[in-house]
Amino acid sequence: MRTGRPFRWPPRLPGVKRGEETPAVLLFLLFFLITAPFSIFKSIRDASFLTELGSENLPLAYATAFFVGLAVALQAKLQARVSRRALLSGSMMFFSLTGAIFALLLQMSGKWLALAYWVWANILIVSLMTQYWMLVNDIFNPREAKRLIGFIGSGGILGGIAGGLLTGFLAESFPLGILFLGGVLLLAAIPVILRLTGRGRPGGEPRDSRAAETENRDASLRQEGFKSCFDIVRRNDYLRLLAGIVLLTGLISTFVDWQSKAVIEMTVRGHLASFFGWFNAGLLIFSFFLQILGTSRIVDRYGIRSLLLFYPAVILIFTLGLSAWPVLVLAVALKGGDKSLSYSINQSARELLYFPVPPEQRVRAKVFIDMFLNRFSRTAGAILLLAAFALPWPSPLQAVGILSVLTLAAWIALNLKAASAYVRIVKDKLRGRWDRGDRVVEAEVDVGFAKTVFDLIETRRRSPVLFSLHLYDLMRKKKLTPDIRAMLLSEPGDPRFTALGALFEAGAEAAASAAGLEAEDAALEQFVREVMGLEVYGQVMEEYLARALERGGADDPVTRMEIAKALGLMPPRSPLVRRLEELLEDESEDVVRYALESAGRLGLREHVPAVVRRLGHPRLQDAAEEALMQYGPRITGGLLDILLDSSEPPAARRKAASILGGIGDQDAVDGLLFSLGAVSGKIRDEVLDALDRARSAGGVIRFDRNLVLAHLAEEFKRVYKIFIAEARTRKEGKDDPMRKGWASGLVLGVFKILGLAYPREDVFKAYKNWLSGTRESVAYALELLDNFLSKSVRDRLFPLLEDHSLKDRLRLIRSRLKNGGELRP
Amino acid sequence: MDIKKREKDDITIFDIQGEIRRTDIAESTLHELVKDQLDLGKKHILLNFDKVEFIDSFGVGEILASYISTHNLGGQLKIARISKKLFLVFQITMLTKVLEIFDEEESALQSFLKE
Repeated sequence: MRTGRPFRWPPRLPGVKRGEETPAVLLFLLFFLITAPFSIFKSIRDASFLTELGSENLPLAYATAFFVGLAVALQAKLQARVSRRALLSGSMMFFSLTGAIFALLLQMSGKWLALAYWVWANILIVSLMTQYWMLVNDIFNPREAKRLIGFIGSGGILGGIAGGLLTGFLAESFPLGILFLGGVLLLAAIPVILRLTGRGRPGGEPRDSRAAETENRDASLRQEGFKSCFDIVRRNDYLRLLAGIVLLTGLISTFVDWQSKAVIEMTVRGHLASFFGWFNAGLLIFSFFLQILGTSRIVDRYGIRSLLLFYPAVILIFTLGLSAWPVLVLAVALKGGDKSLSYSINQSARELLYFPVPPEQRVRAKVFIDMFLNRFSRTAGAILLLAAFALPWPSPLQAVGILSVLTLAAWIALNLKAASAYVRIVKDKLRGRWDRGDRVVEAEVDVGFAKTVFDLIETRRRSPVLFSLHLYDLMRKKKLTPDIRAMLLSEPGDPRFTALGALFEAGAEAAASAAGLEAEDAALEQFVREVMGLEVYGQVMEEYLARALERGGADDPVTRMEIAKALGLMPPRSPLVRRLEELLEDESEDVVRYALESAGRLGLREHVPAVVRRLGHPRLQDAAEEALMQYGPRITGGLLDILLDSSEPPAARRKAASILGGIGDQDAVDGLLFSLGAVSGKIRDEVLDALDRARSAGGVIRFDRNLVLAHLAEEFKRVYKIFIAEARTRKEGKDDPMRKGWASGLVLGVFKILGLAYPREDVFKAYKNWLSGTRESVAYALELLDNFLSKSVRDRLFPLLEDHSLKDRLRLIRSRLKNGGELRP
Repeated sequence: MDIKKREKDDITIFDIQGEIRRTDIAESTLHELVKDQLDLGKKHILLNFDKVEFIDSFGVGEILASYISTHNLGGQLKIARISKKLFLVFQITMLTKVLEIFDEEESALQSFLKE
């Protein structure tokens, strides 16, 4: 019997999702066809130059980068007039023709031919590379490119290896012109691949929209040209930062190249072209494995900051080594480190840095930075090398070493600054901040005032006393606004009065009292307070309350509502307020609601048990919650007891959690966090929401990170299980629950816990953008999360959020469920 | 109070009749009905107030609680066909700062589709 996995065709490519295979493979091939011939040309270039002119003249060769910059500026002009594909195809034809001429001239020797050849090879690589990466940016969005960069980048490295091996094997046996011609033929194949890349792109956003976007950009470039490219960089802080990094990278590469070549020239005794062929192939094999096995993992694990620091750190170590011991092994290691990391990690990091730049700016900035500034940095490097040679230092190698270390220090500083700027820009790209609904309401509406106004209007129909008490209440809170006065005083015939209709049918008496209030608010308030404070008032009212409350349910509840409301306006020390306890137990919900409001206002401990009993009542629980909120931290312990007591009604336990979240001090938060492991279902949801509410208040509250991550791990398990169960109910392979509105509630708990351990605003910005569901907003949301979540958290979260087929998502989720251990901060 | 539910273009519409008052509520409160829809992944909620005569502070609490629950799940809650008298009170109490209110149901539905 056959066992094992079924044969799969096409095979799964690393980082490539279904639907992306064709463009990814074509870009892989394209990169191969650019770097393979260049590797041949470069080996011949280096060997010819060292043989004809020697390493002491290398600064001269580096200085020719200025002419390369001019050629690139010319290309930018052309780019403004023709489409990207047309330019790339045209470039291929130009380089194929001129390459054929060089193939013939290589039969001859000559110092100036070596220099001209150096310039030609450099123009070729910078021109093709820049256009290639622009093409990649046109086809994929930032997140796709980041995922695919390992695969398509390895195409370039494989091409370089193939070219290097070919040179290594054949350079000693065949004339260099023949070898060169082989490279030219490879270049000629590029237009064919280019035609194919235009035929389709992966699912999601239609190809047409991106093509149109590119066309628009190209049309815009046609109008402006190179100067606009320079202006874009000049005016933008972030792009200036990128330009600085590229400039320093170019300086370092120039120093590294000279240092290694000077040592190679001193120590290698065989055929130089063959040596460079083997050397280029060897370092690219190393790069290839680094790219396939390391780059994506490093990008995935450490984020942009570490990525930007890795390359300078390696170069710094080898530079210091070579300055102390100028031996071939260290020269090869330095050059190998520089090249392999520049093709893999540095290239990835640099492309990542461009992603938050808007496409229109990016394309212009790349023209200036990659095509011009990069070249100019070589010329600047050459000048600095000549300056270092002139220093009275015992060895030029050591002088260049010191120069290199100083430049590296500046480079590292700029990289750190760029990493911070990158994260800031990604955040800015995300749609506005995410505020909790209750915070939005709090910020815009005085809910207590709004409720009093509605009650004021409602009670006008029921009781002049209640109406007056509400008016007095508004007056005490200085909320008897001109709008409300105008509404109450409106005459019949006034359109507003007509609109309010029956609400104002109570007549002129109440309106007249409202008019009186306008003039005498302060005096009246003082008068009422004095009356309520009179001993005789207390005695008279005591008798009245006794009579009214004895009649209880037999009487109209309106009288008891009036009493319940009035008690809340009395001083807490008044003996009358003890009557409130009876009213909190009244059979009329209207009476109890007024009593709850008064209890909250008075804040007396003896009322707490009666208020708490109302937390489980469906129609009174909100009023009970509001009342208890006014007690504040004094009742935290009692609320936690209710929350953790399984014999209490679930509704009361949920409300207890909600109030604790509203109180939000350290004790309340610690209690909530502890209780998270002891509750389940809707009570757990409420506890999570309460924690988020406390967190969103922005106070100085500590959340035990290890405890939070332990709860997060549990939440992931819970969510995974719900997802798997839900997926079983959907049509197989087609109906992914994560693409439904259903998923937003599912992962909300995860985001709430994340918000306790990480910057809440960033977490919910990402959530909001993920919810919006567009390709770009999801990409930026994930990119932001990528920058601050630990790897173990990302590994659990991203299978839920990333775009996957249902089958792949289920596979990933089952694997996480099976292998999930502790989460690390 | 009577609340009936219907759906249009992935938008849940609640037709409310009567007064939203503490003493006049149906089996489930408005907030409970909204939360049920949110649990099903329905994030666009429209409250049709065509036949709502008046609300009390309990009603205000129900509407705001529904708004908060919907907002916290990335959804939207809007109100249509509110009476002039209620709209005036909503304005005075600044509830219109957070609640989107439309004269007609159709314009409210269109506003959901635009976002």
